[in-house]
Order: sequence, then structure tokens, then C-alpha cells
Amino acid sequence: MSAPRLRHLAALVALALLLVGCGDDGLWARWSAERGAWRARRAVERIALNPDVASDRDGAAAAAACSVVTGRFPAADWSARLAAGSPHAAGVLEAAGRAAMLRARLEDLRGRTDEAAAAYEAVRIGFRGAETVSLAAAVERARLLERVGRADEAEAAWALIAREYAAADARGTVRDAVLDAPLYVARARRAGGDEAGVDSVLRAAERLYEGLLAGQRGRPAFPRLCLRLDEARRARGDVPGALAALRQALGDPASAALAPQLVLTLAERALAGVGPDTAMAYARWAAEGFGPGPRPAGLLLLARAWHASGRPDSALRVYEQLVEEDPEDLEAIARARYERARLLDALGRWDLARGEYHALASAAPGHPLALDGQVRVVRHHLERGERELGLAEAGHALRAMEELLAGHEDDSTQVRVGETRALLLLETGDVRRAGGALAALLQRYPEAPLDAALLARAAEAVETGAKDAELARELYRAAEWRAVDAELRDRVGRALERRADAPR
Amino acid sequence: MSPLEQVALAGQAIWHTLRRMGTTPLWIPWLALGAVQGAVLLGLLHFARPWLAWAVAPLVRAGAGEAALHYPDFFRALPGLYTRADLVVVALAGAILTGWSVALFAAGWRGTRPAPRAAWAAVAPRALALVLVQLPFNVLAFALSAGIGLLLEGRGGIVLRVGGMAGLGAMVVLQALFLYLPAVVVLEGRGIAGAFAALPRTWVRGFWAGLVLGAAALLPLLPLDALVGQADLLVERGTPELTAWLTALQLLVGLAVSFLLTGGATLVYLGSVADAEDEG
Repeated sequence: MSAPRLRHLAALVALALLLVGCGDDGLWARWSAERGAWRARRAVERIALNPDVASDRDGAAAAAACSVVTGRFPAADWSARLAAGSPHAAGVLEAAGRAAMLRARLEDLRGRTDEAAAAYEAVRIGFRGAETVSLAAAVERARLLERVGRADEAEAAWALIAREYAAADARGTVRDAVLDAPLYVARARRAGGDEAGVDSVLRAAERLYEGLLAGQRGRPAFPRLCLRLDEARRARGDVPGALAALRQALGDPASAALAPQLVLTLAERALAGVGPDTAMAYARWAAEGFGPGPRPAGLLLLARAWHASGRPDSALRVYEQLVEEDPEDLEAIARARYERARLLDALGRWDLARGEYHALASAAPGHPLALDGQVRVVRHHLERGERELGLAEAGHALRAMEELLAGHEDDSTQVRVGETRALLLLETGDVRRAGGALAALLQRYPEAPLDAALLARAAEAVETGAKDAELARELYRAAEWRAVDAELRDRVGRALERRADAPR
Repeated sequence: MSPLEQVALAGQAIWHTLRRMGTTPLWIPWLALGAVQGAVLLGLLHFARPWLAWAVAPLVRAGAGEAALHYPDFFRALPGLYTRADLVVVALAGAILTGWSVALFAAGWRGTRPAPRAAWAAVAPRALALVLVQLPFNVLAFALSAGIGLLLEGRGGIVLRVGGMAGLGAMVVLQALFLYLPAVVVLEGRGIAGAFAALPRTWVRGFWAGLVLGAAALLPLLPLDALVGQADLLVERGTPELTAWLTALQLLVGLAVSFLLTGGATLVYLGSVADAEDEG
């Protein structure tokens, strides 16, 4: 190669090296971090589809995918670069934070709650430089603790969110999680019986929402803030104040899309606190002012308002009108027929009530209200000593349910109808079949959300009536696992201890 | 030549060009174009690298918005970005290399051995004319596709399907109208004005054959276009990088289609469109 050519080549190589070495590596870092976080998300999502069948290798691969990102882009380094004004550092931190959160979620999916909570807390603290990530980790931790029933820790986590994070970011965009936090805390304190604490938290929340409202007028956050203000005031018992908050939302142009829902909420709140006349006005507005969408819900509220104002016949007419209009909203029809039947029953017009329950069972056989209606019909007769009539109604309902079970494969229908069938058998005194039906359901759906009280009642009946100790023990165990009510749990626990002491 | 004869000639031209697919010298212009297009695609794929970001990232941002600078959103925008970049490549390098290919095919169809160096020496001085005579087609094709895109935006069902088909039909007609211009410039040695003056002759003698050639060239591209059009779905459900592989495949198929179209058009030109006395 000649000397001039060599010189050209050397110059080209030097230029290439110069180009390789120059330029901002921030964009490349952000791209790499986002790519890593995306791959980690895919790996964790694959496990989340069914954590029970995921192998240890899948878990290790997903964890490694997360660690690649967090290891290559340490939060401390990139927080420092963010503070120094690097334009892409925020993006890198966000992606690395997502990967770190996925690592925590992976622990959660494996059922390791303590490790997951600790990992979320580490992200919360480590990524304080990227407040969005830190807040997201704090929220996930609070939700996790709430989900696993660690109420005190969850309350503390929500309180920390309310205390440590700004309710709006630098651009004035409100952060829903921070706004919700005091409401969670208030609910938790109320559940714990701390009424004085609830009041102070709610008053502070009100001040926070009121302070933010002025800056959010005309923005999408405005109605959301008003709804929270409504919730806070309602929780304090300030019903007129809650209604005022909702009316404030309704008056803002940003609430146009939410207007039907706001009017329905106003009707509900008025019905619960102010009076049926105000509720009626809002319910009519919802039923007639926004087209077919919110009309069924508006009519249902109108009927309730008539009932509350002592005009049950007007309420019955509205329910009838709703059914006759035959909206596509099957839920609304079921609710209208059910409420009409209940009202007729309360008014002593049993024949009409029974007809309505039957019509409901024909129109929506698997609907929970239809199933409840069938149980009510049977109970009505049995409670009045009309055993033959009760058994006839039960026989008719049981046949319909068995046909439904044979024709519907979906799990929720199987569980719902199967549970009602067992209840009907129990009501009619067929204890052994009732216990057997529940045991079969438990065998097929071990984690089905069956009613703990029904399981306990069936267990007691099987224990005393059918003398089947094994079946009773199985039902008691299922009841104990599902019982939320402390009294019921104690009762079932004592029964299980008694069974353990009993000779086999 | 009657339309029917033109259609028959186009069919023969396609067949003969397919039989020449294994002739290496005929591929040289298209391999050169493929190298340029490949470099453009690679440049786009590596836009975030520090040594490219200063130049390519602003183009990506301008072409597809700030979101396209992020992973995996970039891959949703990649087919569109590449198509736009390719318009420039095709209008400049593609126009010249098509002329080179015409010269090589003409030698082949006349029974002499295609000589790439000699053909390039003959075509290079006409590079500007080649770019300029094909510019109206490139501009009109861009305007047509952009216009159809705007018209069909947000539409669905039968309107979208019929509109899409009409757009494709219009594109084939447009291509047939300008198909023989590179051959007119290279083989007749005409300048820009002379080439446009010869257009009516090419329409009378080769329009129907051009339609057949254009339609045949379009067929292999349709399934790939449809696949690449689903970039959003590919990103959400699969590997985002699959969009890049599909774009690369589209590039390769596009080169084969260009080979077929240029070879066929040159043969039709020699058989039907050319004036024996004009051919230089």
C-alpha cells in the first residue's frame, strides 16, 4: 500500500476512534436500561401467569434479568448524574427502578412476603432521586402488606406515603397514590376503632385537596380531587359538604365525561344523607339527561328514593318501567326484579313477590340475586310452617340449578350455583347431601371463596345430624381457613379442637 | 403492439428475468443498493450509540417523535422511519443504480456478457439525469402513499380495504407510466427533456406491459407489508427486534423485486418500446 493511501487510512481510523469515544452516553444508557427492564418484565410476567408451575430456573432467569439492569445502572450513580443535570439520567433511573421493582414482585410471586416488602422498601429508599419510582415502590409495598392482612404495617406504609411525598409533581400533575393515602389511613384507623385519629387524618386530607383544587381547575385531576374531597367529608359525616364537593366537580368543564357518574353519586349520597327529594331530582337527571347508558342505574335510584319517601307504589312502578323498557343491562333488570320482589314481600303481597322471584330466576338463572331469590322463596314457606310448599319450591329450584350446573362449565357459575344448591339442601334438612355437595365443591375448587358461615353451619349439621365426623372435620377446616369474622373463627376452632379430642 | 401482445411480452419478460436470477454481474447494482439500504437500517437500529446518537437521534425524534427514542417504542416506529429514509436512498442511489442495472440487463438481453465496469462507465455521466427523470415518480409515489394514508386514517372495515386496494392500483399505474424512463436515458442517451418527451411513446408501446410488471412485482411485497404493518402487535406480544428482522427481509425482497422489475422492463423496452434508430 502506498504512503498517501496509508496516511488516508490512518486518518480514517483516527476519525472513527474519535467518533466512538465522543458523544453523550446517556441516551445509550437509557436505551440499554429500558431494554433490560423490558426483558425483565417479560420474564416476570411469564411467571406471573401461573406462579405455581414456574420452575426455579424460570425464577432464577427472571431474577438475573432484573439484576442485570440494577447492577449495570446503580441507583446511587445515576441519582448523582441526575443531580448533576445529565439529561437522560431520569430515564435510566426510572428503567432501573422498574427492574428493581420487578425483583420485588418476583419475591411476592414466590410467596416470600417479607423479602418482597424489604425489596420494595430498598427501592423506595434507593431511588429517592427518581421520586416517581420511589413512590411506586412505596405504594406497591403498602398494597402488598394490605393484601396479606398486615393491617398495622399497611397503615404505617400509607401514612408514610401521605407524609413523605408531594401530592403534585414539579409540573403540577397530581399523584393519585399520595392523594389516596390519607383515605386508606383513615379507613384503617376506623377499622381499628381510632375515631379521633380518623377525624384528624380526614381533616388534614380535606385541607390538602382544597389546597390543590384551585390549581387544577379545568384539568383532568379536578374531578378526581373533588371525588376524594367528597369521600373525606362523607367519612367525617359531613354529608352536605360531600355533596358540595360533587357539585363542584360537576361544574368543571374537565368533568364532562364523568357527569353521569357524578350525578348518580350525588343521588346516592343524597339518598343516604340529605333526603329522598334531593335524591329523586338527581336520579331523574341521571335517568333522563344522559342517554341510555346511565338510565337503568338512574331509575333504580329513583325507585329507592320513592321507597324512602314512603311511596312504595311509585317505587314499584319505576321498577316495572325499568323491566319493561328491557335495557341491554341484564344486571339492572336483575336488580330491578329483585328489589321489586323484596318490596312486594315487605308490603305483604307475597304472591306477587314470589312471581317476581320466579321471573328473575327465569330471566337470569345463574345471577346471584336470582339464586338468593330462590332461597328466599323456600325460606318464606318453611318459616311459616308451610313445609310441603317449601319442599316443592326447593325441589323445583334444585332441579333448575342442577340443569344449570350440567350446562355451564365456567368455574364461577359452578361455585356460585353449587354453593346455593348446598344452602337449599341445608334449608330443607337434607344435611348429608348438603355436606356432600360442599365437600365436592371443595375438592374441585380448593380455593373457592365459599361462605365460611355456610360451611360452619353445614359442618355443625353434619356433625350432629348426620354423625359424619370426617365430613364435619373437612367442612370445619374449610370454614376456619375462610373465616374473616373473629367470633366465627373461634367457634370453628373450638369445634375442630373438640373433634381432635374425640376418639376416632 | 396491442395491449394483449404487451401483456404476453411482459409475461415472457418476467420468465426470462427469473431465469437470469443466477447471473452474478446482473446483481452488482442491487447488491450495492442493498449495502446502502443495509447501512441505513443498521444506522437506525443503532441510533442510541454515542457515536451515532448526535446525528441519527434527532432524525428519529423528528420522524417519529420523542417516544421513538425509547425502547421498545422505537421498534413500533422503525418500519415508518426506514420507509422514509429509504425514499431518499431510492431517489438518489436507487435511481443511478437502476440505470446501471438497465445497462447490464440490456447487454444480457442482446446476447453479450454483462460487463459491470464498462456499464458503470457508460451510466455514471448520466447519473444526474437518471436522478432527475425518476424524481417525479418518487415524489408522486410519496404523495400518493401519504395522501392515501391521510384519507384512510381512522377508518376501518370495507372502506379501509377498498381504499388500500385503490391506493395499490394507483401506485401500479403510476409505476407503469414512468417505468421505462431509466432505459430511455441509458439506452437512448437522452437528456432530461428528451426523456420526458419520449414518455407518450413509452405509454403507447409499453403501458400495459408496465402494468403487468408492476402488479407482478407488487405481489411478493404485500404479505411482508402486512406483517410489518402490525409492528405494534409484534412489539407487544413478541420480541420487538422481530420488527427489525422483518424490515431487513422486506429490504431483501425489495431488492429481488427491483431486479425483476428492471430486468423485465428492459426486455419490454427492447422488444416493444424502443425506436431502433434512437437506441444509442
